[in-house]
Amino acid sequence: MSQEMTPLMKARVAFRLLFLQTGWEPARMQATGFLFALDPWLGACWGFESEELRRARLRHLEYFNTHPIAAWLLAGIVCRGEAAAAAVQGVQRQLAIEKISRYKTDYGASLAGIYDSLFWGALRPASAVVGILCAFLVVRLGIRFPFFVVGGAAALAAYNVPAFAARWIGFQRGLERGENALVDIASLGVQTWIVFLRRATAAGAVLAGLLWASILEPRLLLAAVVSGAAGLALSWRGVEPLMQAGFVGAAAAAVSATGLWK
Amino acid sequence: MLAALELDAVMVAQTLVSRPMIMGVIVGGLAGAPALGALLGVAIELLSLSSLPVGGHLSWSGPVAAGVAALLAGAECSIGVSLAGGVITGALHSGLEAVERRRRSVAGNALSLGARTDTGLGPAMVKTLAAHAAVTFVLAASAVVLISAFDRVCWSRAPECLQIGAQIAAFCAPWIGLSSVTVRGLRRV
Repeated sequence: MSQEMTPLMKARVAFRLLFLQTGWEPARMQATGFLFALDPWLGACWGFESEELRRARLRHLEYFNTHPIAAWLLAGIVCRGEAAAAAVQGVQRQLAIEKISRYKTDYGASLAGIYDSLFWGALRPASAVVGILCAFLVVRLGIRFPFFVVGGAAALAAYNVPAFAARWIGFQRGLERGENALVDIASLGVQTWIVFLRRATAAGAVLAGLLWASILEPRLLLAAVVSGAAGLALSWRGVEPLMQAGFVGAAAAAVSATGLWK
Repeated sequence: MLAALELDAVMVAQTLVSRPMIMGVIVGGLAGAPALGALLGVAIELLSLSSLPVGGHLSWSGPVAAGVAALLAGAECSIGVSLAGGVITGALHSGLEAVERRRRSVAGNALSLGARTDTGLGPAMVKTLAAHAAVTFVLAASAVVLISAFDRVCWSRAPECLQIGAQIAAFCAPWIGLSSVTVRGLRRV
């Protein structure tokens, strides 16, 4: 790499990456946020050529979209690419710049698929179930501490410890290894993690349901079992949970109107 | 607090401090009903887990729904009205966010002309955040005032079967959510 990024510069870019989606808009998606994050580094790389700096900024205002955590890895790769482009001239520079645009469009979409499945599709539900189970544990063990604080803290930690590690490591790897960092991702076997997390979440959800049921009075237990069983069948058929809640409310109102449930 | 925390959902960081189960605890705690806020938050969290915030997808806002539901619970509204009111406000919030995003396209075009790239990005980002927080605040405050008035004036006079139906729906929401999470976990990836 032609220009080393100082720890202060890394911290500045990393902090600004937290605002990746602030300027989200349909046409360019995360482009404004990505430019905002990269701007200090672009200034350091291209500051001595003001016209090139302006062009670099405009380049990064073109369409860009990926998962917010994957953006850290791409930011590392792009920062390395910008430094390399600024260090050469002529055709070589043009080729280096074209490569940067390709990283963003080609890898942005494919990384988004993996990261969406891992972080939104697997880790987010898993961390919610971890929080709920921890809250139940506090209640069941009779620990004198608000269950909702423990549950909330556990859910946050379960999501953020891996998420922030992935952000920072991704950024560092991108800076150090450039495009090769993507090969590292491919060798991680992320698909296995996703399957494991999803199965563990399903098991945790069943356990949370059983723990919850154990503290209910019989009449409410009946409602819980019926709605849970109906929920399993309807969810399997792809009915949205919110719609299911509406069905349950309408059914309960109808049953209550007949006088069977007071 | 609700409006500031909600920024985490899409616009800043995505640490999930805005997730419904956390929003319910914090806003519920401030409104004097932390346990009820937590339960409503968990119900909304489990109901909203099936919608992934992928690409430009906008479904109802779980964080706003949980915050408003917790505020309504703190204002001693019935649990069914709190949950339903929260979800409706969350859906309205998503509609407003779609409008905001379209407006930002115009600002983005101005940026691409290069006119503001030298100095304007930071202040433009702060302005965007402030505008979004203001929209969330106004919507949530209006929803709490209107829905709590509805609960006191109209809902208390509604037929008993409707009140029971809403209460049962709120009670069953976490069970439905847990079922949905279980099914999603068992499906093939």
